[in-house]
Amino acid sequence: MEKGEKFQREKIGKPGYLNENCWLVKTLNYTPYKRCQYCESKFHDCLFLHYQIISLILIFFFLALPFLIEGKSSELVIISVFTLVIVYGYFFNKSTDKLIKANFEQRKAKEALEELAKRLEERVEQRTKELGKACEELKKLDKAKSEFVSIASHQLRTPLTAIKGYISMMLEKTYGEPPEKMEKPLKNIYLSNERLIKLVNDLLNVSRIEAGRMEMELEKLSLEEIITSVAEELKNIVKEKGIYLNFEKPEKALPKILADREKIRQVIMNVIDNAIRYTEKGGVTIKCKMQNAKCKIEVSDTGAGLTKYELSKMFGSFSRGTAGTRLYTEGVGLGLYVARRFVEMHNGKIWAESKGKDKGSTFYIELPIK
Amino acid sequence: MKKILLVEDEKILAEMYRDKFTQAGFEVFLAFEAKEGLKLAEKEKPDLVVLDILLPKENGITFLTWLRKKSETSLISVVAFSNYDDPETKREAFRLGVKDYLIKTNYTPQEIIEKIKNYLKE
Repeated sequence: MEKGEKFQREKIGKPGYLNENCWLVKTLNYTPYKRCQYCESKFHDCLFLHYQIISLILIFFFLALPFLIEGKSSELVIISVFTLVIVYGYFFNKSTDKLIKANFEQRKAKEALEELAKRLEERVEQRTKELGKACEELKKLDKAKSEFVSIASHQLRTPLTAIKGYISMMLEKTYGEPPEKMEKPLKNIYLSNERLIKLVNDLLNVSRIEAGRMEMELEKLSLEEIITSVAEELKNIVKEKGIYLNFEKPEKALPKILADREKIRQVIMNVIDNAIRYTEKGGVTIKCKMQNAKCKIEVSDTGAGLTKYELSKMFGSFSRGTAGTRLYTEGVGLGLYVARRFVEMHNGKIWAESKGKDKGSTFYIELPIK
Repeated sequence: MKKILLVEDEKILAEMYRDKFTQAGFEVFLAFEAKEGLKLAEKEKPDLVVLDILLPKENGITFLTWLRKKSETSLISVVAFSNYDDPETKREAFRLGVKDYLIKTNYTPQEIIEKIKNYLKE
């Protein structure tokens, strides 16, 4: 049994190969002829068996039969028959060898192909597992990164809150009347701090957008109210720069839209704040209207304007118009990227148009009602 | 005089808000940790708790859970007031009945006073 098992493990073509289909080989438990190592046929299909049967029939007819009938066989006939059987055996052997070997080659190629496919499958499976593992690792890393950004933002915001709080209280005269010449530096500290807060918020937003962890809190809201409140918040900066900021309200109030208040406020804030930042003369005009069943906000400025190249790159992350290098400006170009992503989350559209450098620009925000 | 319990671990911020709230005419109780805050809430029964979320040892969410479990403090109004604005934490805070979740950097102390006055009117 042990021997049988050992044979079974041998491959076709090897001396120890045992053809389980062949009755003769199975009974003998070894391969009687060399070519049996290549054969997988059943016993009744065995070409050597056919040869033996044919030989026996020949011997019987040409040798045994005349002997039985006539009581003797001629020596010449005996020699002729045996020579015939041997010569026939030789040619038979030669031709069938080729046949069996060809079968063996075919079988070998098939096995190699199967082996290759199996190995390929195994490799694909292994690679898929590795990829899955890497993906899990990446997800973990991504979550850790988001958590890190949340914590880091918290740590950054704490001192910024203290600065904002104390400066605002000083400006509100909580600690008594500040000296007159202190007022402007205090305001500047306050505004710079506001920029830093905005930057931290933008970074936090970008990190969440990239990680797909940005969530929406939808409610019915009035765009006019938000624009008014943003304009109110920015009026001091506008005053400092000596430019104007006009909100031309529509004659008929716009319908309320279903949107995330904080995000829409930030979009409008980023766009208007951006327009103010790049406008040194003139000012910024805001309009809003209904168009094709959508609310459309227009923010036009008389500022630096935009080239075609800038217009195409405007809403990508970390980009800024060339005016950003010509003029003193704050920010690293995250604002418009965040704005675009927020607008897209509302199935809206944001784009900019400009007639060229120093010819001002207009930003459009289009939001569906629902 | 309305009572406000401020649970805030950052000493500088805690003092700043305490000064502002006191100046605005509130009686302010200050706690630097969740356990301390809970004890003060039980003792003083404040009209409003202004609660930081990231606190040492137990966080603001744990404080809220404790507060809601005790019958004598379960109905106290709470406003979450933190610079940590993780969406999941926010959701959890609202589930535990906070009136609002304010991000500190977005408001000046004066704006917070206005907000508090509105919450107390409700």
